[in-house]
Amino acid sequence: MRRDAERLAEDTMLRDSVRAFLAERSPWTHVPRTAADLDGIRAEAAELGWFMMGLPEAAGGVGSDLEQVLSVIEEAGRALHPEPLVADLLLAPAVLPADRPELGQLAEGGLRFCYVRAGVTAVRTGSDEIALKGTGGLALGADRATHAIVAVDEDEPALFLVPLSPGRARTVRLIDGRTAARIAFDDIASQDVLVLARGPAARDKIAALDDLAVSAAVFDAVGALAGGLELTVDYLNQRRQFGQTLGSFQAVRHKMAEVYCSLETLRSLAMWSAAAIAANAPERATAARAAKIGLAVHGLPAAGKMIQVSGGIGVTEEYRIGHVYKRLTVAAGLDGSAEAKIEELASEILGEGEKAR
Amino acid sequence: MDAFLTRDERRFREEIRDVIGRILPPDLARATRRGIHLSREQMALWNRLLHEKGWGAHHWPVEFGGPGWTPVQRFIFESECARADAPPTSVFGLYLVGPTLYTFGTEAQKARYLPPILSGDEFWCQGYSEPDAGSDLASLRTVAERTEGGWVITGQKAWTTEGHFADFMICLARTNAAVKPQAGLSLFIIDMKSPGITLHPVLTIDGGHSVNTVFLDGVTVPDDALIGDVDKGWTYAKFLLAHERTNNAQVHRSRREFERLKARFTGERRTDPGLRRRFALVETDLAALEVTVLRILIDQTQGREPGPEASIVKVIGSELQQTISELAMDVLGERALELPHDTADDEAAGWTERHLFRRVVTIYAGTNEIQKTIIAGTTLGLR
Repeated sequence: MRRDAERLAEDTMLRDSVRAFLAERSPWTHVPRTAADLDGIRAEAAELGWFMMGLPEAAGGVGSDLEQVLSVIEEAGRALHPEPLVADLLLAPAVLPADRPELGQLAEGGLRFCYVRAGVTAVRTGSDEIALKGTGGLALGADRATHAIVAVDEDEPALFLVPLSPGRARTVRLIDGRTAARIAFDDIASQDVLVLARGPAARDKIAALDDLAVSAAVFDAVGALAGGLELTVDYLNQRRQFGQTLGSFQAVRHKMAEVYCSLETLRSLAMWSAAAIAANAPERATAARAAKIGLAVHGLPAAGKMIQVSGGIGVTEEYRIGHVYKRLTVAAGLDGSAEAKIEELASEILGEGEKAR
Repeated sequence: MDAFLTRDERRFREEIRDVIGRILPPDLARATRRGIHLSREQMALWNRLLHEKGWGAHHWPVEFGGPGWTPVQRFIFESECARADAPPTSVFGLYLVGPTLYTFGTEAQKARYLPPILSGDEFWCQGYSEPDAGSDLASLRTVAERTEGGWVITGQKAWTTEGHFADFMICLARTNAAVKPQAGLSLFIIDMKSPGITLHPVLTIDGGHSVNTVFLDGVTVPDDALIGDVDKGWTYAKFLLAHERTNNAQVHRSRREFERLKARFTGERRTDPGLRRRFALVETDLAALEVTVLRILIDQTQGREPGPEASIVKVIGSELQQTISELAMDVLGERALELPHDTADDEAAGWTERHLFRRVVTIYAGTNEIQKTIIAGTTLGLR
């Protein structure tokens, strides 16, 4: 949030270029994209340096900071770009050691990562042998990922990097046009698994990754919502009923003012979580929780209100606003519900709820 | 919110906390917790104590006696005052009249009126609204007529907060009936001891007396009571209302009260899942509002114009104030139903009084409906 003039100019240039690129190469359509289409866009994005942004300089990074990488995520959300980018741009660079060759391949856009959060356990099979068991939770982009970052959050927490063979997981098509998968890990050979962290260090890294993933998902939602707001304002200024524009009716105007309040509230929560991550502040987990809650209690209803003020066209598959709603529905529902976060936050600020006195 | 603050700002916070802890009299903090309508003496005392530190008007420019803090430092100062249960200083002199005078007033007006506001020696009230001019302020009917060496003002002002102990009123009156309503208004300084002023107290639903109806019956004011130019009052008043808005987020008071409410949330109620859920949602909204206010202030600190988000903090902040006091009522249970003046429970009395009085916060300073209309038109560009 505190940026000198030079950094601000850089931010603006980056954001403008990402927006222009996506507007040209990934214009919104309700028709599901082909894999070949997405691969083509990805190759061009790699040439523009997107996948180097989050990397440490030692691994070929270009010195972008978290705020800038998140602005790319936000722009992808605005465009409703269906390619998942969070694991590639943020999560993999955050956990892979700087000397890993995967980072170089990632920089060129050659690898795809996904983050598998729940459902996997690790079993020791020998003195230094580890076998993964179980099927991971629904992970964005896992159907096409070349590598999974797997968090095992049990008695002995650990974080793994697992190369994936193509076609391993069945593609799950999501309501918002993105794809995901649940990966089964039972038959992966232990020699293929790279241990990224173990024990308390792993617990810390998993917590940090979780917060980063939530923050990025909320930035994506902020972008989607902001794009939806622009679209809806334009529409309300054009569409006429009773001889006047829809935007002239006070009932509609007030609803849109509320949508704007919700959008900026959500943006503030996203910015807080990003600032807390960048500073590794003690409030980091609180901020991420609040951002996820804000997504569900402010973001999603705001998208719903925009469908309402758009009228019938808002519920048609060929119009974009319904897809904004679906994008936010997916974001709110993945990786643990907002209701769980609400209870977590309540316990954090009030204690566990055991009877006092 | 520490993630947004620099090391220097966190150190500044420690210094402020330390000083306030030393200079704030405990009974003043108790009175602040106990109720919402403080006496002039209580507000003046706190203003004077701050003034001795050079902090009487922490948001004014240095040349008029401000401490020269950045907007973020002011945010920290306000937050620390709220945290210590320091009384709010009077809104009208410090936030409305001061900025109006140092922006539009003459040198003589600045020299006469600013120092006593700064020190807490003189209090002001605002004479804008009228019985038939609330949200539709421009339709006001109070008239100022030219006479030899001055003006004669006649009309009726409504919702005059602190009018019963104010020394002066900043009054909006019609000086030209021939032009469209907004164009014919002027801004005057009225001495509240002038002949022709009658004041009727108006009790609010909390049972308290802070607002009044003021009758102006041929009140004579001198030429130099006019602020700025004749017929330009609307422009000045709009400027004033813009000043009111960020202050009306009241985010620091809300934070303080919410923290106190958490402490009060004990016993069996603490396990109530419905109430716990509401606490978590307030925590989320309050944090978001704190960030939104900080976003505006950091922009200002870095020399940028506040973005469009500045228009929403009044709406969000006022609704949140009500949400918090509604939650408080449910946390307090039957205690909250006792008449504040009668109950022995100080904290409950404060909550009940605030809860009832705070139905006003979504109405004053431009109702939230007016605010939403402004957001839709000016910020979003709906036509």
